[in-house]
Amino acid sequence: MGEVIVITSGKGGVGKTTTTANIGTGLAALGNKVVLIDTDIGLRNLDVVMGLENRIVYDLVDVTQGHCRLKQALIKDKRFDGLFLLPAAQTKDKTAVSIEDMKKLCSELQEEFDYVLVDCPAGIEQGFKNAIAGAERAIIVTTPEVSAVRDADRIVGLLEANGLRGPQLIINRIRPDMVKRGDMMNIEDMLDILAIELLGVVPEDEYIVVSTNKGEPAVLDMDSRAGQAYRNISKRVTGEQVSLIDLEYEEGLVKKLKRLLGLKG
Amino acid sequence: MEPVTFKGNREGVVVQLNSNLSFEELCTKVEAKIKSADSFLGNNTEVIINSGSVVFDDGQAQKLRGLFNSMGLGIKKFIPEVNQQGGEANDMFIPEVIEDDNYLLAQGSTLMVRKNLRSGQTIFHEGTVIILGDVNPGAEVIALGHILVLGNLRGIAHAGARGDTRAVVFASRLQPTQLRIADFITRAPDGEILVPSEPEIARIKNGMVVIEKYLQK
Ligand SMILES: Nc1ncnc2c1ncn2[C@@H]1O[C@H](COP(=O)(O)OP(=O)(O)OP(=O)(O)O)[C@@H](O)[C@H]1O
Ligand SMILES: [Mg+2]
Repeated sequence: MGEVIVITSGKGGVGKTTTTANIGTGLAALGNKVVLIDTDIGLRNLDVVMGLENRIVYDLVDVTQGHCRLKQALIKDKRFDGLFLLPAAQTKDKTAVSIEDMKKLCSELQEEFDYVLVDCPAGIEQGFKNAIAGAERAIIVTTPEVSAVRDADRIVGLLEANGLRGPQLIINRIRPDMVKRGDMMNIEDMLDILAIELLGVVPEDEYIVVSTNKGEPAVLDMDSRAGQAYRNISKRVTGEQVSLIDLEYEEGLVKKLKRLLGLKG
Repeated sequence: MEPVTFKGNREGVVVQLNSNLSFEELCTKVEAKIKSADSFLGNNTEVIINSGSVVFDDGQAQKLRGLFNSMGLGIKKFIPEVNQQGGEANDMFIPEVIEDDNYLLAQGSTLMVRKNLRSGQTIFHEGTVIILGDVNPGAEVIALGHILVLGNLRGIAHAGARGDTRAVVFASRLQPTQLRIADFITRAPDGEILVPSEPEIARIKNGMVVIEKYLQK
Protein backbone atom coordinates (compact mmCIF):
# COMPACT_ATOMS: atom_id res chain seq x y z
CA MET A 1 0.00 0.00 0.00
CA GLY A 2 1.29 3.40 -1.02
CA GLU A 3 1.60 6.62 0.88
CA VAL A 4 -0.58 9.72 0.44
CA ILE A 5 1.42 12.94 0.87
CA VAL A 6 -0.10 16.42 0.72
CA ILE A 7 2.07 19.38 -0.35
CA THR A 8 0.76 22.52 1.30
CA SER A 9 1.85 26.01 2.45
CA GLY A 10 -0.91 28.38 3.47
CA LYS A 11 0.60 31.27 1.55
CA GLY A 12 0.20 31.26 -2.21
CA GLY A 13 2.94 31.20 -4.80
CA VAL A 14 5.69 29.73 -2.63
CA GLY A 15 6.26 26.67 -4.83
CA LYS A 16 3.75 23.91 -3.97
CA THR A 17 3.04 23.05 -7.58
CA THR A 18 6.71 23.24 -8.55
CA THR A 19 7.53 20.97 -5.61
CA THR A 20 4.77 18.46 -6.41
CA ALA A 21 5.88 18.20 -10.04
CA ASN A 22 9.54 17.81 -9.14
CA ILE A 23 9.20 15.35 -6.28
CA GLY A 24 6.65 13.37 -8.27
CA THR A 25 8.96 13.16 -11.27
CA GLY A 26 11.93 12.51 -8.99
CA LEU A 27 10.15 9.59 -7.30
CA ALA A 28 9.13 8.17 -10.67
CA ALA A 29 12.72 8.46 -11.90
CA LEU A 30 13.72 6.35 -8.90
CA GLY A 31 11.37 3.67 -10.18
CA ASN A 32 8.29 4.31 -8.08
CA LYS A 33 4.68 4.26 -9.25
CA VAL A 34 3.44 7.78 -8.62
CA VAL A 35 0.22 9.71 -9.14
CA LEU A 36 -0.11 13.48 -8.74
CA ILE A 37 -3.48 15.01 -7.87
CA ASP A 38 -4.08 18.70 -8.59
CA THR A 39 -6.73 19.90 -6.12
CA ASP A 40 -6.50 23.57 -7.06
CA ILE A 41 -9.91 23.64 -8.72
CA GLY A 42 -10.36 26.69 -10.94
CA LEU A 43 -6.65 27.49 -10.96
CA ARG A 44 -5.15 24.27 -12.17
CA ASN A 45 -1.58 24.40 -13.38
CA LEU A 46 0.17 21.21 -12.36
CA ASP A 47 -0.66 19.89 -15.84
CA VAL A 48 1.15 22.86 -17.41
CA VAL A 49 4.23 22.44 -15.22
CA MET A 50 4.25 18.74 -16.17
CA GLY A 51 3.74 19.59 -19.84
CA LEU A 52 0.59 17.46 -20.02
CA GLU A 53 -2.06 20.11 -20.61
CA ASN A 54 -2.89 18.96 -24.14
CA ARG A 55 -3.74 15.46 -22.98
CA ILE A 56 -6.53 16.35 -20.53
CA VAL A 57 -9.92 14.83 -21.28
CA TYR A 58 -11.39 14.23 -17.85
CA ASP A 59 -10.58 15.80 -14.50
CA LEU A 60 -10.96 15.40 -10.73
CA VAL A 61 -14.55 16.61 -10.69
CA ASP A 62 -15.50 14.23 -13.52
CA VAL A 63 -14.21 11.41 -11.35
CA THR A 64 -15.92 12.44 -8.11
CA GLN A 65 -19.20 13.08 -9.92
CA GLY A 66 -19.04 9.77 -11.70
CA HIS A 67 -18.78 11.17 -15.25
CA CYS A 68 -15.89 8.83 -15.92
CA ARG A 69 -13.93 6.06 -14.29
CA LEU A 70 -10.87 6.96 -12.27
CA LYS A 71 -8.59 5.12 -14.73
CA GLN A 72 -9.92 7.17 -17.62
CA ALA A 73 -9.01 10.45 -15.98
CA LEU A 74 -5.42 9.52 -15.15
CA ILE A 75 -2.99 11.03 -17.66
CA LYS A 76 0.21 9.12 -18.27
CA ASP A 77 3.38 11.17 -18.17
CA LYS A 78 5.44 11.59 -21.36
CA ARG A 79 8.67 10.54 -19.73
CA PHE A 80 7.93 7.88 -17.13
CA ASP A 81 5.64 4.89 -17.42
CA GLY A 82 4.97 4.85 -13.70
CA LEU A 83 3.91 8.50 -13.43
CA PHE A 84 0.34 9.75 -13.73
CA LEU A 85 -1.57 13.00 -13.22
CA LEU A 86 -5.14 13.55 -12.15
CA PRO A 87 -5.78 17.16 -13.25
CA ALA A 88 -7.99 19.68 -11.46
CA ALA A 89 -11.17 20.94 -13.08
CA GLN A 90 -10.72 24.36 -14.61
CA THR A 91 -14.28 25.55 -14.92
CA LYS A 92 -16.37 23.62 -12.46
CA ASP A 93 -17.72 24.63 -9.11
CA LYS A 94 -15.20 24.44 -6.28
CA THR A 95 -17.74 22.83 -3.99
CA ALA A 96 -18.08 19.91 -6.41
CA VAL A 97 -15.55 17.89 -4.40
CA SER A 98 -16.17 16.87 -0.80
CA ILE A 99 -13.90 15.64 1.95
CA GLU A 100 -15.47 12.20 1.65
CA ASP A 101 -14.79 12.16 -2.11
CA MET A 102 -11.13 12.92 -1.48
CA LYS A 103 -10.76 10.26 1.19
CA LYS A 104 -12.27 7.65 -1.09
CA LEU A 105 -10.17 8.74 -4.06
CA CYS A 106 -6.92 8.71 -2.12
CA SER A 107 -7.52 5.29 -0.62
CA GLU A 108 -8.33 3.89 -4.06
CA LEU A 109 -5.16 5.33 -5.59
CA GLN A 110 -3.12 4.20 -2.63
CA GLU A 111 -3.94 0.60 -3.52
CA GLU A 112 -2.17 0.92 -6.82
CA PHE A 113 0.54 3.51 -6.44
CA ASP A 114 3.61 3.79 -4.23
CA TYR A 115 3.10 7.53 -3.79
CA VAL A 116 0.02 9.70 -4.13
CA LEU A 117 1.08 13.37 -4.09
CA VAL A 118 -1.65 15.94 -3.51
CA ASP A 119 -0.96 19.51 -4.71
CA CYS A 120 -2.91 21.72 -2.31
CA PRO A 121 -4.34 25.14 -3.19
CA ALA A 122 -3.26 28.21 -1.20
CA GLY A 123 -5.32 29.21 1.82
CA ILE A 124 -7.08 27.29 4.56
CA GLU A 125 -10.55 27.04 3.04
CA GLN A 126 -12.45 24.10 1.59
CA GLY A 127 -9.75 23.35 -0.99
CA PHE A 128 -7.21 22.93 1.80
CA LYS A 129 -9.54 20.73 3.83
CA ASN A 130 -10.13 18.56 0.77
CA ALA A 131 -6.45 18.29 -0.05
CA ILE A 132 -5.47 17.10 3.42
CA ALA A 133 -8.49 14.82 3.90
CA GLY A 134 -6.96 11.65 2.48
CA ALA A 135 -3.34 12.39 3.41
CA GLU A 136 -1.31 10.63 6.06
CA ARG A 137 1.84 12.66 5.59
CA ALA A 138 2.41 16.35 4.86
CA ILE A 139 5.16 18.39 3.27
CA ILE A 140 5.02 22.10 4.01
CA VAL A 141 6.65 24.48 1.56
CA THR A 142 7.78 27.91 2.65
CA THR A 143 10.00 30.69 1.37
CA PRO A 144 12.41 32.68 3.56
CA GLU A 145 9.88 35.42 4.27
CA VAL A 146 8.24 36.23 7.58
CA SER A 147 4.73 36.07 6.14
CA ALA A 148 5.29 32.69 4.48
CA VAL A 149 6.76 31.24 7.67
CA ARG A 150 3.85 32.61 9.68
CA ASP A 151 1.39 30.90 7.35
CA ALA A 152 3.40 27.68 7.43
CA ASP A 153 3.17 27.77 11.22
CA ARG A 154 -0.59 28.19 11.02
CA ILE A 155 -0.74 25.19 8.70
CA VAL A 156 1.27 23.04 11.11
CA GLY A 157 -1.28 23.87 13.81
CA LEU A 158 -4.25 23.08 11.57
CA LEU A 159 -2.71 19.81 10.40
CA GLU A 160 -2.10 18.83 14.01
CA ALA A 161 -5.72 19.62 14.90
CA ASN A 162 -6.73 17.29 12.10
CA GLY A 163 -4.54 14.45 13.28
CA LEU A 164 -1.76 14.93 10.72
CA ARG A 165 1.36 14.99 12.83
CA GLY A 166 5.04 15.24 12.03
CA PRO A 167 4.94 17.35 8.85
CA GLN A 168 8.23 17.97 7.03
CA LEU A 169 9.51 21.28 5.74
CA ILE A 170 10.91 22.39 2.38
CA ILE A 171 12.44 25.84 2.27
CA ASN A 172 12.23 27.12 -1.30
CA ARG A 173 13.88 30.04 -3.11
CA ILE A 174 16.77 30.49 -0.72
CA ARG A 175 19.34 32.98 -1.97
CA PRO A 176 22.63 32.17 -0.27
CA ASP A 177 24.12 35.57 -1.10
CA MET A 178 21.22 37.38 0.58
CA VAL A 179 21.29 35.12 3.63
CA LYS A 180 25.01 35.79 3.91
CA ARG A 181 24.43 39.54 3.90
CA GLY A 182 21.73 39.13 6.53
CA ASP A 183 19.05 40.35 4.11
CA MET A 184 17.12 37.10 4.13
CA MET A 185 15.81 34.92 6.95
CA ASN A 186 18.24 32.13 7.59
CA ILE A 187 17.34 28.48 7.82
CA GLU A 188 17.94 28.19 11.53
CA ASP A 189 15.58 31.08 12.32
CA MET A 190 12.83 29.36 10.39
CA LEU A 191 13.41 25.99 12.03
CA ASP A 192 13.50 27.67 15.42
CA ILE A 193 9.95 28.93 14.98
CA LEU A 194 8.43 26.03 13.08
CA ALA A 195 10.13 23.28 15.06
CA ILE A 196 9.48 20.61 12.44
CA GLU A 197 11.76 18.30 10.50
CA LEU A 198 13.62 19.76 7.53
CA LEU A 199 13.20 17.75 4.34
CA GLY A 200 15.30 19.99 2.14
CA VAL A 201 16.33 23.41 0.92
CA VAL A 202 15.80 24.50 -2.69
CA PRO A 203 17.79 27.48 -3.97
CA GLU A 204 16.34 30.26 -6.09
CA ASP A 205 17.03 29.13 -9.63
CA GLU A 206 16.15 30.77 -12.94
CA TYR A 207 15.98 27.35 -14.46
CA ILE A 208 12.72 26.72 -12.57
CA VAL A 209 11.05 29.38 -14.70
CA VAL A 210 12.49 27.92 -17.89
CA SER A 211 11.45 24.41 -16.96
CA THR A 212 7.96 25.51 -15.92
CA ASN A 213 7.46 27.11 -19.31
CA LYS A 214 8.81 24.08 -21.14
CA GLY A 215 6.76 21.66 -19.07
CA GLU A 216 9.86 19.74 -18.03
CA PRO A 217 10.47 19.47 -14.29
CA ALA A 218 13.90 20.77 -13.24
CA VAL A 219 14.59 17.56 -11.37
CA LEU A 220 15.51 15.98 -14.71
CA ASP A 221 18.07 18.64 -15.57
CA MET A 222 21.50 17.73 -14.33
CA ASP A 223 22.74 21.33 -14.53
CA SER A 224 19.99 22.89 -12.43
CA ARG A 225 20.81 23.51 -8.77
CA ALA A 226 17.16 23.43 -7.82
CA GLY A 227 16.92 20.20 -9.79
CA GLN A 228 19.74 18.71 -7.73
CA ALA A 229 17.97 19.78 -4.55
CA TYR A 230 14.76 18.11 -5.71
CA ARG A 231 16.62 14.93 -6.63
CA ASN A 232 17.94 14.75 -3.09
CA ILE A 233 14.56 15.59 -1.60
CA SER A 234 12.93 12.83 -3.64
CA LYS A 235 15.37 10.32 -2.21
CA ARG A 236 14.73 11.59 1.31
CA VAL A 237 11.00 11.16 0.76
CA THR A 238 11.66 7.46 0.22
CA GLY A 239 13.58 7.34 3.49
CA GLU A 240 17.07 7.37 2.03
CA GLN A 241 19.59 9.49 3.89
CA VAL A 242 21.14 12.10 1.61
CA SER A 243 23.32 14.93 2.78
CA LEU A 244 22.44 18.49 1.89
CA ILE A 245 23.83 19.98 -1.27
CA ASP A 246 26.53 22.43 -0.46
CA LEU A 247 24.82 25.76 -0.64
CA GLU A 248 28.24 27.35 -0.57
CA TYR A 249 27.65 29.74 2.18
CA GLU A 250 28.10 30.03 5.88
CA GLU A 251 30.78 27.60 6.93
CA GLY A 252 29.42 25.09 9.32
CA LEU A 253 25.81 25.55 8.35
CA VAL A 254 25.82 22.49 6.14
CA LYS A 255 27.07 20.54 9.11
CA LYS A 256 24.33 21.90 11.32
CA LEU A 257 21.74 21.05 8.71
CA LYS A 258 23.05 17.54 8.50
CA ARG A 259 22.56 17.25 12.19
CA LEU A 260 19.03 18.62 11.91
CA LEU A 261 18.32 16.06 9.22
CA GLY A 262 19.69 13.37 11.44
CA LEU A 263 22.66 12.66 9.18
CA LYS A 264 26.13 11.80 10.28
CA GLY A 265 29.23 13.72 9.25
CA MET B 1 -27.44 42.94 34.93
CA GLU B 2 -28.63 43.87 31.47
CA PRO B 3 -29.30 40.75 29.37
CA VAL B 4 -27.29 42.06 26.41
CA THR B 5 -24.69 44.82 26.51
CA PHE B 6 -22.36 46.20 23.88
CA LYS B 7 -18.88 47.31 24.75
CA GLY B 8 -16.06 48.46 22.58
CA ASN B 9 -12.55 47.31 23.35
CA ARG B 10 -9.29 47.16 21.43
CA GLU B 11 -10.39 44.16 19.46
CA GLY B 12 -13.73 45.57 18.41
CA VAL B 13 -17.30 45.40 19.63
CA VAL B 14 -17.90 42.90 22.40
CA VAL B 15 -21.43 41.64 22.94
CA GLN B 16 -21.75 40.64 26.58
CA LEU B 17 -24.49 38.09 27.23
CA ASN B 18 -26.08 37.52 30.61
CA SER B 19 -25.38 33.95 31.56
CA ASN B 20 -28.53 33.56 33.66
CA LEU B 21 -30.91 33.55 30.72
CA SER B 22 -31.87 30.57 28.61
CA PHE B 23 -30.45 30.41 25.10
CA GLU B 24 -33.84 31.16 23.49
CA GLU B 25 -34.38 34.20 25.70
CA LEU B 26 -30.91 35.44 24.85
CA CYS B 27 -31.60 35.20 21.13
CA THR B 28 -34.74 37.31 21.43
CA LYS B 29 -32.93 39.89 23.56
CA VAL B 30 -30.00 40.01 21.16
CA GLU B 31 -32.28 40.63 18.22
CA ALA B 32 -34.16 43.42 19.99
CA LYS B 33 -30.97 45.03 21.19
CA ILE B 34 -29.28 45.02 17.79
CA LYS B 35 -32.34 46.46 16.10
CA SER B 36 -32.29 49.33 18.58
CA ALA B 37 -28.56 49.84 18.14
CA ASP B 38 -28.51 49.70 14.35
CA SER B 39 -26.65 52.86 13.58
CA PHE B 40 -24.11 52.35 16.30
CA LEU B 41 -22.90 49.01 14.98
CA GLY B 42 -22.87 49.76 11.26
CA ASN B 43 -23.04 47.14 8.55
CA ASN B 44 -20.80 44.07 8.26
CA THR B 45 -19.32 44.67 11.69
CA GLU B 46 -17.74 41.57 13.18
CA VAL B 47 -18.47 41.31 16.86
CA ILE B 48 -17.00 39.25 19.67
CA ILE B 49 -19.50 37.29 21.73
CA ASN B 50 -18.71 37.05 25.43
CA SER B 51 -21.04 34.68 27.22
CA GLY B 52 -19.22 34.79 30.57
CA SER B 53 -19.26 31.41 32.20
CA VAL B 54 -21.57 29.85 29.64
CA VAL B 55 -19.93 27.79 26.90
CA PHE B 56 -22.10 27.50 23.80
CA ASP B 57 -22.10 24.33 21.80
CA ASP B 58 -21.71 24.11 18.05
CA GLY B 59 -25.42 24.22 17.32
CA GLN B 60 -26.00 27.26 19.48
CA ALA B 61 -23.02 29.04 17.97
CA GLN B 62 -24.41 28.27 14.52
CA LYS B 63 -27.80 29.73 15.49
CA LEU B 64 -26.20 32.87 16.85
CA ARG B 65 -24.15 33.28 13.68
CA GLY B 66 -27.31 32.91 11.63
CA LEU B 67 -29.09 35.48 13.77
CA PHE B 68 -26.25 37.99 13.44
CA ASN B 69 -25.85 37.36 9.72
CA SER B 70 -29.54 37.95 9.14
CA MET B 71 -29.03 41.43 10.58
CA GLY B 72 -26.01 42.20 8.43
CA LEU B 73 -23.46 41.49 11.15
CA GLY B 74 -20.86 38.81 11.67
CA ILE B 75 -19.29 37.04 14.63
CA LYS B 76 -15.53 37.24 14.87
CA LYS B 77 -15.14 34.90 17.80
CA PHE B 78 -16.65 33.51 20.94
CA ILE B 79 -15.31 33.92 24.46
CA PRO B 80 -15.11 31.35 25.88
CA GLU B 81 -14.55 29.34 22.74
CA VAL B 82 -17.37 27.25 21.41
CA ASN B 83 -17.50 23.67 22.61
CA GLN B 84 -17.40 21.61 19.45
CA GLN B 85 -17.73 18.20 20.99
CA GLY B 86 -20.31 16.25 19.05
CA GLY B 87 -19.91 18.63 16.14
CA GLU B 88 -21.10 17.58 12.73
CA ALA B 89 -19.08 15.19 10.65
CA ASN B 90 -18.34 17.71 7.92
CA ASP B 91 -16.94 20.15 10.44
CA MET B 92 -13.51 18.59 10.53
CA PHE B 93 -11.71 21.31 12.44
CA ILE B 94 -11.26 20.68 16.08
CA PRO B 95 -11.33 23.99 17.94
CA GLU B 96 -7.94 25.52 18.22
CA VAL B 97 -7.92 25.34 21.95
CA ILE B 98 -6.26 22.37 23.42
CA GLU B 99 -7.58 18.90 22.94
CA ASP B 100 -8.25 16.68 25.90
CA ASP B 101 -5.16 14.54 25.71
CA ASN B 102 -2.97 17.58 25.34
CA TYR B 103 -3.60 19.24 28.63
CA LEU B 104 -4.30 18.45 32.16
CA LEU B 105 -6.09 20.71 34.50
CA ALA B 106 -4.01 21.10 37.61
CA GLN B 107 -5.61 21.94 40.95
CA GLY B 108 -7.53 25.14 41.09
CA SER B 109 -7.76 26.90 37.81
CA THR B 110 -4.38 26.38 36.23
CA LEU B 111 -4.34 25.25 32.64
CA MET B 112 -1.27 23.34 31.49
CA VAL B 113 -0.75 23.26 27.77
CA ARG B 114 1.66 20.65 26.51
CA LYS B 115 2.37 21.82 22.98
CA ASN B 116 3.56 24.74 20.89
CA LEU B 117 0.90 27.33 20.22
CA ARG B 118 1.09 28.17 16.54
CA SER B 119 -0.02 31.13 14.48
CA GLY B 120 -3.80 31.48 14.60
CA GLN B 121 -4.23 29.46 17.78
CA THR B 122 -5.75 31.16 20.80
CA ILE B 123 -6.14 30.14 24.39
CA PHE B 124 -8.51 31.80 26.78
CA HIS B 125 -8.59 30.62 30.35
CA GLU B 126 -10.17 31.94 33.52
CA GLY B 127 -7.11 31.33 35.62
CA THR B 128 -3.40 30.85 35.23
CA VAL B 129 -1.98 29.34 32.05
CA ILE B 130 1.27 27.38 31.88
CA ILE B 131 2.59 26.60 28.41
CA LEU B 132 5.12 23.79 28.17
CA GLY B 133 6.30 24.93 24.77
CA ASP B 134 6.51 28.01 22.57
CA VAL B 135 3.94 30.67 21.83
CA ASN B 136 4.69 31.57 18.21
CA PRO B 137 4.07 34.87 16.43
CA GLY B 138 0.40 35.08 15.55
CA ALA B 139 -0.69 32.98 18.54
CA GLU B 140 -2.45 34.52 21.53
CA VAL B 141 -2.83 33.58 25.17
CA ILE B 142 -5.41 35.37 27.31
CA ALA B 143 -5.63 34.53 31.00
CA LEU B 144 -7.44 36.07 33.89
CA GLY B 145 -4.46 35.03 36.00
CA HIS B 146 -0.74 34.65 35.25
CA ILE B 147 0.86 33.41 32.07
CA LEU B 148 3.97 31.26 32.31
CA VAL B 149 5.69 30.14 29.12
CA LEU B 150 8.48 27.63 29.51
CA GLY B 151 9.62 28.13 25.92
CA ASN B 152 9.75 31.21 23.71
CA LEU B 153 6.97 33.75 23.95
CA ARG B 154 6.84 35.48 20.59
CA GLY B 155 3.09 35.93 20.17
CA ILE B 156 0.61 37.94 22.21
CA ALA B 157 0.08 37.43 25.94
CA HIS B 158 -2.63 39.12 27.98
CA ALA B 159 -2.47 38.31 31.70
CA GLY B 160 -4.94 39.59 34.26
CA ALA B 161 -7.32 40.09 31.36
CA ARG B 162 -10.21 41.23 33.55
CA GLY B 163 -8.15 43.92 35.17
CA ASP B 164 -6.00 42.09 37.72
CA THR B 165 -2.83 44.17 37.91
CA ARG B 166 -1.11 41.58 40.12
CA ALA B 167 -0.83 39.18 37.20
CA VAL B 168 2.61 38.44 35.75
CA VAL B 169 3.94 37.08 32.50
CA PHE B 170 6.98 34.81 32.62
CA ALA B 171 8.89 33.29 29.71
CA SER B 172 12.22 31.57 29.21
CA ARG B 173 12.60 33.88 26.25
CA LEU B 174 10.29 36.82 26.57
CA GLN B 175 10.01 38.46 23.16
CA PRO B 176 6.28 38.98 22.65
CA THR B 177 4.76 40.83 19.73
CA GLN B 178 2.59 42.47 22.32
CA LEU B 179 2.26 42.03 26.04
CA ARG B 180 -0.70 43.13 28.11
CA ILE B 181 -1.28 42.99 31.81
CA ALA B 182 -4.71 44.15 32.93
CA ASP B 183 -5.19 47.38 30.95
CA PHE B 184 -1.51 48.06 30.35
CA ILE B 185 -0.01 47.34 26.95
CA THR B 186 3.55 47.14 25.76
CA ARG B 187 4.76 46.01 22.39
CA ALA B 188 8.00 44.91 20.83
CA PRO B 189 10.16 47.85 19.82
CA ASP B 190 10.09 48.48 16.07
CA GLY B 191 13.20 47.50 14.18
CA GLU B 192 15.99 45.93 16.19
CA ILE B 193 15.13 42.50 17.59
CA LEU B 194 16.77 41.77 20.92
CA VAL B 195 16.85 38.15 21.93
CA PRO B 196 16.85 37.85 25.70
CA SER B 197 19.47 35.45 26.98
CA GLU B 198 17.73 34.43 30.16
CA PRO B 199 14.25 34.01 31.64
CA GLU B 200 12.38 37.22 32.29
CA ILE B 201 9.23 38.23 34.07
CA ALA B 202 6.90 41.13 33.30
CA ARG B 203 4.69 42.79 35.89
CA ILE B 204 3.04 46.08 36.72
CA LYS B 205 5.09 48.38 38.92
CA ASN B 206 4.11 51.95 39.61
CA GLY B 207 1.59 51.95 36.80
CA MET B 208 3.99 50.59 34.18
CA VAL B 209 4.84 47.22 32.69
CA VAL B 210 8.33 46.41 33.94
CA ILE B 211 10.40 43.56 32.58
CA GLU B 212 13.08 42.07 34.83
CA LYS B 213 15.41 39.13 34.80
CA TYR B 214 13.80 36.26 36.63
CA LEU B 215 16.92 35.09 38.44
CA GLN B 216 18.13 37.82 40.77
CA LYS B 217 21.82 37.58 41.50
N1 LIG C 1 13.24 27.66 -6.52
C1 LIG C 1 12.66 28.53 -7.38
N2 LIG C 1 13.41 29.40 -8.10
C2 LIG C 1 12.84 30.27 -8.96
N3 LIG C 1 11.52 30.37 -9.17
C3 LIG C 1 10.69 29.55 -8.47
C4 LIG C 1 11.23 28.59 -7.54
N4 LIG C 1 10.17 27.91 -7.01
C5 LIG C 1 9.06 28.42 -7.58
N5 LIG C 1 9.36 29.40 -8.45
C6 LIG C 1 8.39 30.18 -9.24
O1 LIG C 1 7.43 30.74 -8.37
C7 LIG C 1 6.16 30.76 -8.96
C8 LIG C 1 5.14 30.08 -8.07
O2 LIG C 1 5.43 28.71 -7.98
P1 LIG C 1 4.29 27.62 -7.83
O3 LIG C 1 3.24 27.79 -8.88
O4 LIG C 1 4.95 26.30 -7.74
O5 LIG C 1 3.70 28.03 -6.42
P2 LIG C 1 2.38 27.52 -5.71
O6 LIG C 1 2.68 27.49 -4.26
O7 LIG C 1 1.91 26.24 -6.33
O8 LIG C 1 1.36 28.68 -6.07
P3 LIG C 1 -0.23 28.70 -5.82
O9 LIG C 1 -0.40 29.02 -4.37
O10 LIG C 1 -0.70 29.80 -6.71
O11 LIG C 1 -0.75 27.35 -6.20
C9 LIG C 1 6.30 30.08 -10.31
O12 LIG C 1 6.38 31.08 -11.29
C10 LIG C 1 7.59 29.32 -10.20
O13 LIG C 1 8.23 29.20 -11.44
MG1 LIG D 1 -0.08 25.75 -7.15
